[in-house]
Amino acid sequence: MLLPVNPADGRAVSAQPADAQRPVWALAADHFTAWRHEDPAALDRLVRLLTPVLWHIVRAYGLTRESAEDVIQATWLALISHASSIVDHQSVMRWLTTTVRREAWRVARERDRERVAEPDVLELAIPAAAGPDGPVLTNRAAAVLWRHVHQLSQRCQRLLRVVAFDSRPDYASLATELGVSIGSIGPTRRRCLDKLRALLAGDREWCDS
Amino acid sequence: MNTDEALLGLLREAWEEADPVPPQLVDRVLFGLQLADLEYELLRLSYLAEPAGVRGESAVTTVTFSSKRLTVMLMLPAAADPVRRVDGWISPAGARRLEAITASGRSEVVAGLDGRFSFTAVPAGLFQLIIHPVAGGPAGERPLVTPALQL
Repeated sequence: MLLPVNPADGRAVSAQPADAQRPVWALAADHFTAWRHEDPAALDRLVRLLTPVLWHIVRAYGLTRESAEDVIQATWLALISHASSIVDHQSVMRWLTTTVRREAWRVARERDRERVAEPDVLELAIPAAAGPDGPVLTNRAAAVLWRHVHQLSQRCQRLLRVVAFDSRPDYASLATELGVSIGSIGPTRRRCLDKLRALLAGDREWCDS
Repeated sequence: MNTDEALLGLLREAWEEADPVPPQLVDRVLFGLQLADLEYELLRLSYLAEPAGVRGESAVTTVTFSSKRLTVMLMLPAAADPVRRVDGWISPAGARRLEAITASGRSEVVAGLDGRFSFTAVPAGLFQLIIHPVAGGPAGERPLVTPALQL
């Protein structure tokens, strides 16, 4: 379970005991430092902590489940081989999320090119993403929210999914991937959230919940 | 639901439930990292055919991995398949040493001159293949490794 993190200062919003008070990126930095100091179990903890985050980021780029897994495995292996180049341990989460996004974006673009070239493979390449009628969410508010997320533009859905799981994404690479300037990431994020709020405001079930 | 953080928190919950992390993903990553000390090149997934069984026959999943130098195709048994074997072939063909890392340890075979090979009595669980460089091949050639696969 991830902690709600305030993007302004990266601190955990909720008041929960012990580790739960520390933001994810700080826990990641702790594990990375411990691992670099010859504690092999710390790598285990780092993988358990951040693999779910990487999953949701990669899936935001529309990769199939198999491709997403492939990209995540490659990213962890890249961390092992580049570990000595990560001097600032506080930035290990950013290193991982940036690496995984760059790779997911590359794979998604390659796949899109192939789709144009070979219409036969279209069926296979369509991600098994759950549509509005797909999953049955147990949390009622989340279920109502889910109905409206799909009405947002692809760009909004991708951006919101990335920032929902990574409160401090690297803006430069994100801007390239979304096809916007660095300066417009913040305003785009705001517009996407406002659009979602507007959709929710028109939903009676949401207002009642 | 007024703050951005609260809304993003709810979005996170929705995505966690609607598109959950595969239950074995972390284990597969950790399994794959066992080889992290080895200097190797990771093969990338290039094609995956969903299980295609015919009238009650066990379904076989075909998966292809490739690098610039080599392509390997693997035919994986279905989960319920009593015959636990993994057949495959490499291209370009050559008598390369192939090593499987499985839940019960490592085993080795040598590919035939036509590039074919098989591992028999493969246990359920994770499976990973190492393709060693040919003896007398180019200097500095690294082993090729597939990502870990769930059998």
